[in-house]
Amino acid sequence: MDFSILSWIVFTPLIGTILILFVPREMEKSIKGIALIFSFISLVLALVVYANFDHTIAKMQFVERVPWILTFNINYYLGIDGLNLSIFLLTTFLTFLSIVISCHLKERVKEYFVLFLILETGMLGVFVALDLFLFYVFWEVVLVPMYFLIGVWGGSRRKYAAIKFVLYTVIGSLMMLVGILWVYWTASPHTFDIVELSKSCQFTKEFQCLMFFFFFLGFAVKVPICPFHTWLPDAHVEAPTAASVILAGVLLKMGVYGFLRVSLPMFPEAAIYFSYPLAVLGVINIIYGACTAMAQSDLKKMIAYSSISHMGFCLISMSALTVTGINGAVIQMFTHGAITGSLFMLVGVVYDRAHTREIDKFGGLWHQMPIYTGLMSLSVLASLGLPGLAGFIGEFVCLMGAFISKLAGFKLLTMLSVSGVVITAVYLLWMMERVFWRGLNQKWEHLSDINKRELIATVPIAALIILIGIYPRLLVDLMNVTVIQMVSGIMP
Amino acid sequence: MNYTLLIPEIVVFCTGVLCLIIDLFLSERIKKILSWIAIIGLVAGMFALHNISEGLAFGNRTFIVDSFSIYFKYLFLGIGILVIFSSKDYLSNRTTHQAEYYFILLSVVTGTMFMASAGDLIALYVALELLSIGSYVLVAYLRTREGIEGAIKYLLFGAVCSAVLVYGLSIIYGMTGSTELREIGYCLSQQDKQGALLLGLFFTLVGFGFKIACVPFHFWVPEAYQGAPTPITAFLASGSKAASLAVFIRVFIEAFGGIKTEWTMILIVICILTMTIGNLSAIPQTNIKRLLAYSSVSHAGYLLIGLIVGTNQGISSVMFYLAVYALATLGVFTVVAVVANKIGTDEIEGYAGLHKRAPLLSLSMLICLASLAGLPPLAGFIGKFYLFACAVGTGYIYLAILGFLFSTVSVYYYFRILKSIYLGEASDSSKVPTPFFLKAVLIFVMIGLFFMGILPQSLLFSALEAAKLT
Repeated sequence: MDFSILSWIVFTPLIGTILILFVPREMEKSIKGIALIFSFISLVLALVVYANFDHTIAKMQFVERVPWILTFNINYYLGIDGLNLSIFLLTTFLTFLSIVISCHLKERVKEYFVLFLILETGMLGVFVALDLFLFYVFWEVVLVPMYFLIGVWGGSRRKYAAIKFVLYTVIGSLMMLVGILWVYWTASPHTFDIVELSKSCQFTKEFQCLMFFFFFLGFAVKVPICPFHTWLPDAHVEAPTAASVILAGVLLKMGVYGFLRVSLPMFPEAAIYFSYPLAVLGVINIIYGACTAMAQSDLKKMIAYSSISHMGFCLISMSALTVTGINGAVIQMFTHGAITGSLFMLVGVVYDRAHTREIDKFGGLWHQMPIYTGLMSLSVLASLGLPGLAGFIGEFVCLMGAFISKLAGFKLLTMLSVSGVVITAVYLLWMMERVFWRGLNQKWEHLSDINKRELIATVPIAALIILIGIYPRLLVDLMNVTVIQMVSGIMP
Repeated sequence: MNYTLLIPEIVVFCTGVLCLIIDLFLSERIKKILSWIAIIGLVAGMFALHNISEGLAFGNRTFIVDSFSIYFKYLFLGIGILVIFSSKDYLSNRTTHQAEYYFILLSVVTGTMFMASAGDLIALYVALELLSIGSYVLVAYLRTREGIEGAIKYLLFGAVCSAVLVYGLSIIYGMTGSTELREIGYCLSQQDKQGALLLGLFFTLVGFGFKIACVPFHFWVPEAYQGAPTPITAFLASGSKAASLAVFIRVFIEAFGGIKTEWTMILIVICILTMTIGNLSAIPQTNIKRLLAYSSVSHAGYLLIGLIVGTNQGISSVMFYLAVYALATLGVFTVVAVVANKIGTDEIEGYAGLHKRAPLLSLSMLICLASLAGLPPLAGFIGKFYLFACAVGTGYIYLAILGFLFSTVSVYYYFRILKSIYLGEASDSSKVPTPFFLKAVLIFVMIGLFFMGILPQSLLFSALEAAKLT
């Protein structure tokens, strides 16, 4: 396709931003309308890409490659393959729905949607950039909008959470930048081209391990990997609903995607060398995340810790370096993004009405909000991995991929991770009982059920969760061929 | 003997004199016209620079015109124009003696232009003093208590460091028998290294280090920057630093190129100290000018990395960084000047809720501070990227790591200002008036920072060309 559709998808939200800048701040409906339209255009174009994507070949598709900064041989290089198509689609989908659910905003509307659209451009760019410099630029573009989204429209401790998020992410990213520069100078010819660097296999094992470490610092903050995760509970809790959805649904995936796109292909020997430590960290994520979630009294914090737990599945399956494992990581990125996105949206629904997130303060909500209870139950069951819903697909493939690994020690780690599934079920069902099914707390008699705007935002995700749960081939077929080729380049 | 090469400097200096003369005939009300005369003079200087050819003005290397000096002169003239723009209202609210201000400022700009062209120790020193003495006066210009305190500190420190510099230069002369940088370089590469040479080198370093404001010669910076009129602070932070670095580069690459191993180690230590102390000292500051003063000290640290690298790419990274740093700094200080006109304070709490009162000023502050912090897709990121890329490329990985770590610290204190502006509550919700031309200037700065961040190739090429010292 000569239409350079990827650039259009990435930059359409930015065009929306520029348009909004010229709209007077009083015309709130127009601003929201523009935001909706432009994010919808991105979604539609992404679906066009999906429809024209050939999943039988492993090459990069829809490639755009233009020389950019000649001094450093930097190119403006975008492309889609099995690894990023699904998360790219999910990003457009989740961002559109997040904008839908933000439509009831009253204060500083113009800034909010300007920042949101800039954020969308950054995220979309990260997932399709194939030049390390471009990748880094988009990675950092996400920072400033997120700081303001959390800091202005967030909860009571928002200023602290916002700057914590920024500083954590910046330190990690800058260490990644050191790695990027070092890779550039060591490669011959000097290049930032990810595809080139992945093919060339020219680095010594020691250099690969060192670079793997530097990139690890950058990605570990985002995934997040214990012990670099402490920014997440604060940021997720204090952020406004839509920003939490984006944080959990997309930004976390940037870390895993970074591993899959950059670290594993470029540093295969280091990937094998570090596979066991990385898997151990994954298990820690799963179990520690789940146990901490169980101890939470704040609903949003519980879901935040459950995100840490679910990303552990990505880690363990990714470090197993099997085809099933990497498939599992990509699938889990998609399904977890959808499920957690849905969970945070639904938490936002009840928070908007009750102005509290304390689990023990709720009770018997299903009396007043039956439809809401239904949707929440669906998302929770998906999150704990009930077969028939998308969450099961992600977790199952991840665990299977980890179990069949040729590398030593994975069988034990997988067995330990399964306990995480059990703990997840425990805290989620316990939460459901306390919030929805215990006796009705008189305070909540006046709560209204879920309204149209929220339904429009949450039902599509629910439908997607059910769809992928029943017919996962829609998702898995996209990536299989690419992953097979990727793994053959890593494992001997 | 090609005296036409001196036309840009002559134009600028004569504009200054013209301001003084015309002032005699102006009444109070139309004093503003002086600033426009000054700006026109600087623009004329740019035109003269555009058509200039390369060469030596006096047959020897006292005054060299090459792509290096032309690059810096464009930079200085641009800085001068932006400083005068932010000076107009700032001055007219506070004093009636405007003509002298413009005269001294234009002389100082002339001084910087001579510094960029100096290929000889004496010419260099004279130009340096022209810059310095003018700066001392400008810092004290408004005769506030803080201004005079800052100026005295600057003057005393500056006088001592100047004397040390001359002593060092005279030692170098004594050892090599010439004051021309090229010949010195040639002599030093032939000679055996002697102890006295190291002494001369060290004294020269003291003198230049003072001017660039790197640790441990930075103690004058907080008071001088805080007390000076804000446009002069902007000039000190951008123009003075850039001129001193131009001279630093010429001396250390042309004259001391042969003894690189000796001075690299000292520079590395100074660089690490500067980045550390500059960034850490900025954290507890509550006055925005003081915070920006310490942050400019830390930027000197980053710039020294490019010098330590020493290759053509390293030098060009310094020049590129200076251009984008100057642009962002001038943007920030323009906003500070306008806000101070209305609010009357430079404390960061005074900026609380500024986004409601002055959206354009707040946005400019955001873009300029983000550029100084080195966040993509702004020009400051490309600058830092280039600098640290050169460092990694020549094996100074630890410098790059330290530089990046301290950039994170700078993100923190720059965001503190933004936090106050965007997340704070204004105690008084009246609008902050911004003159139209300043709005235009700020929009120009913002567009420039985005443009250089997304399409930096043209400036990168210019810097690379200019770094080949002839």
